[in-house]
Amino acid sequence: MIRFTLSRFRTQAVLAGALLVVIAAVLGVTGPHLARLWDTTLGPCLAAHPAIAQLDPGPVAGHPCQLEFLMLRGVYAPYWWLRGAAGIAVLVVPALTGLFWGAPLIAPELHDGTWRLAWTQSITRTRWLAVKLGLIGAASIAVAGLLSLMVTWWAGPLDRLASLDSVYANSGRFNPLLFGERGLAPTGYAAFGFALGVTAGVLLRRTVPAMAVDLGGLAGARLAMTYWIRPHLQAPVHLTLPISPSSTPLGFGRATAHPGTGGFGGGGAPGAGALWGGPPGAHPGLSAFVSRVPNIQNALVFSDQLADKAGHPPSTQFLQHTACTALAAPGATPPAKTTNACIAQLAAHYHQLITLQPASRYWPFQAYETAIFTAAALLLAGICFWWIRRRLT
Amino acid sequence: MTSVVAASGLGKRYRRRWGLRDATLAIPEGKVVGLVGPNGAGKTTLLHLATGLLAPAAGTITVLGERPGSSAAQLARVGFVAQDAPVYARLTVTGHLRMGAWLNPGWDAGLAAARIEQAGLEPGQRAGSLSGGERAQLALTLAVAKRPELLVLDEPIASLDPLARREFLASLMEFTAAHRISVIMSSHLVSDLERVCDYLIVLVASRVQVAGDVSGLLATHRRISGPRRDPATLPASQQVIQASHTDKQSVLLVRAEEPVHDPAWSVKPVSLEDLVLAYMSRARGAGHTPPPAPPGRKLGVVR
Repeated sequence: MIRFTLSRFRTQAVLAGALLVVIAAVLGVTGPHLARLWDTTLGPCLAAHPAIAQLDPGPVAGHPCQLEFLMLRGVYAPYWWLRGAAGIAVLVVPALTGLFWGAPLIAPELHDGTWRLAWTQSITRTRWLAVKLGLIGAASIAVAGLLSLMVTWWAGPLDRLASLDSVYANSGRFNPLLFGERGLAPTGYAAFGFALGVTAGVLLRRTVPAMAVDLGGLAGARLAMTYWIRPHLQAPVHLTLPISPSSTPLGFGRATAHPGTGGFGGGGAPGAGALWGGPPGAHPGLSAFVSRVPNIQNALVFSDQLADKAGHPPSTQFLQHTACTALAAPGATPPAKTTNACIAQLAAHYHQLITLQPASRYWPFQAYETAIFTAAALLLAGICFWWIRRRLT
Repeated sequence: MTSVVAASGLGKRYRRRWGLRDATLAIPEGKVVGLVGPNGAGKTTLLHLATGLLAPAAGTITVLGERPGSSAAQLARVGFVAQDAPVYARLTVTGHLRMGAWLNPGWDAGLAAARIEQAGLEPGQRAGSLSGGERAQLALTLAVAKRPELLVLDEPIASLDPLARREFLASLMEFTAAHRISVIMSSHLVSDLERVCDYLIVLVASRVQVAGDVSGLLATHRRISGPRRDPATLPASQQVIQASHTDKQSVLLVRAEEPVHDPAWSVKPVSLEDLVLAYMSRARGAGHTPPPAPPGRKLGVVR
C-alpha cells in the first residue's frame, strides 16, 4: 500500500519538491548576505549595548547603534517585498496542501465507486486509510515545515529589524499575522488543513465541496486562534510604569484615536494607543491623554492605559478640574510647559499599565498552537477511521 | 461439505428500508452460483455483505469460514468485481497490475499478463479510456490474479454488448475450470447465467426466494396443467409457486420433491427462466412480504 500510495502521489510530490527547491534557491542566494550584514553591523552593536530596560525603545535617536540601524534599513529595503511574499507563501501553502492533497484523498474513491476496488484488495481498509493519511499527511506537514524553516531563517534579520523599526506595538514576531508565518505553527496548520480536507471528503464524498469546507474551516480556525484563543493561552502579564514627561512620551489629545504616525526615532509624535482619561467626546475640551505605546520588542501588547493603584483610570473630572485646569479650554494646543505640569500632577496618582504577552513566551506559544492544531488533526483523523469502519458499512 | 458462504438470518438495513432481510444460505464449495433478481432486489447488498464492504445489521455471514473483510488474509481469499467494474480512470492498465501486485500477496503476475494480452488491452492505456468490455476484463483480471478461492462478480456483464458478454463469460469459465474456484455472480437476467451457473439464488424484494443446485431445482419444479382446480386442494408435498387459471383449466408451477402422479395433471419440466420468473412474480404479488417457507402447503397467486 505504501508503494502504491507513493506511486500515485509521485507527480504531486515532484511538483511540491520543485516548488520548495525554487524557493530554497531564491532564499538561499540572498539569505546569507542578509544574515552577514546583520552580523557585521547592527547585531554586534546591539550586543555591545544591551537593552537598559524591558521598555528600551531600541536604537532611536541618540542610541549608540542608530547609524548601523539606518544603514541596515536602507540595505534591507529592496528585500521587503520578498519578505512579504515569503510570508504569504507560508500562509498559503498549508491551505493548498489541505485543498489539493487532503480533500481529494478519499472523496473521489467514494464518488467514483473505486472504494469497492480498493477495499477488496488484500489489505484492510483501516490500513489502507492509515497509509494514505500517514504518508500524504506527513508530506503536507513536511512541506509546510520545510518552507517555514527556510522563511524563518531567511527573514530572521529582516524580522529583527522590523521589530525595532516601529513605534507601533506588535511589530515583532508576536504580531498576530506574522506569528503564523514563522516557526513551528505552520506544521500544525498543515496537519489540520490536511485532516480537515480528508474528513470533509469522507463525509461529503465530493472533492470540490470538501475543498470549500476545508478552506473555510482552516481560515475560521486560524482567525479564531489568532484573535480569541492565542491571547489567552496564558494569563497576560501586567507591566506598571511610572509616568514622567521625560521617560514616557505622553501628550494630550482630543477624544479621537490618533493613528500611530511616528517613525523611527521620532520622539514626541502621538502613536498608537490612546490613553483615555474619560469617556470619549464627553467634553468639548481636552479630555484624553494620548501616549505612544512603547515598542516592546517581540511582545504581544493588548492594552496600555493610565491607572491608579486600584486599577481605575482617571476621570474626566480629575483631568480637567484637578490635574489640568489650564487645559479645559477648547481648541488650543497646550504649550509643552503646561503639559509637563499636568503630567507631574498625574504621576502623583497614576501609572501606565501595559497588558501583554512577553517575548519570552513566543516559542511556548508556538508549541501550544502547533499542539492544538495537531490534536485537532488527530481528532479529525480519528473521525475518518471511525466513519470508514462503521458508517460506510 | 463445507460452505463457501454461510449466512443465517442475514439482514442489512438502510436508513428507511431493509436492503436484505432474513437471508439464510449455505453455498457449497466449487459452484458457479448465479444470483438472480430484479433491480433493487438486494443482490448488491448481499454481495457487499459477502465481501465485507458492508457489515450485517442482523444475523451472521461467514465466507470461507471467516467473517468477510475481517483481516487482510481473509480479503486475499476473495476476489471481487463490483458493479460497473470500477477502476482508476487515470491509472494505466499496467498501473492497475502493479497495484494488484503490491496489494495482494498471492498475486499471479504471469496470469495477469496473459489475461491482459488475451483480452487485447494496451498496457499503457489509461483505464478511463477503455471500453466497457475492456474495463470489465481489466477488473476481472485484477480479481482473479490475486488467486482467490472465491470470486464474486456483481452484474459483471450487464453493461457489455452481446459479443463482449460471450467473451467475458468464456474467459471466466475458462479460468474457473482451470483453477477450480467458486464463483458467485449476480444478474437481473437469468438468461445471462443459464449457461454458466450450476447453483441458483433467486432474490426478490430483499428476500431469498429459493436457492439450490440448478439440476435439483429443475428436477423438483414442474409445470402441471389440467382441469380447473383450487390449488389449495393439492397434496401437501406440492408447493404452488405460480398458478394461472382459465375458465376450464389451471396451470400451476409447483415445487415437489416427489414425482406428481395425479393422472388429472399433465406434467412438464420447466426452464430455469420460467422457474425464476415464477418466483419473481410470486414475490411481487405477495406485496414484498413473501410467506416464510414452512414445509408443506403453499399459497399460489391466482391470476
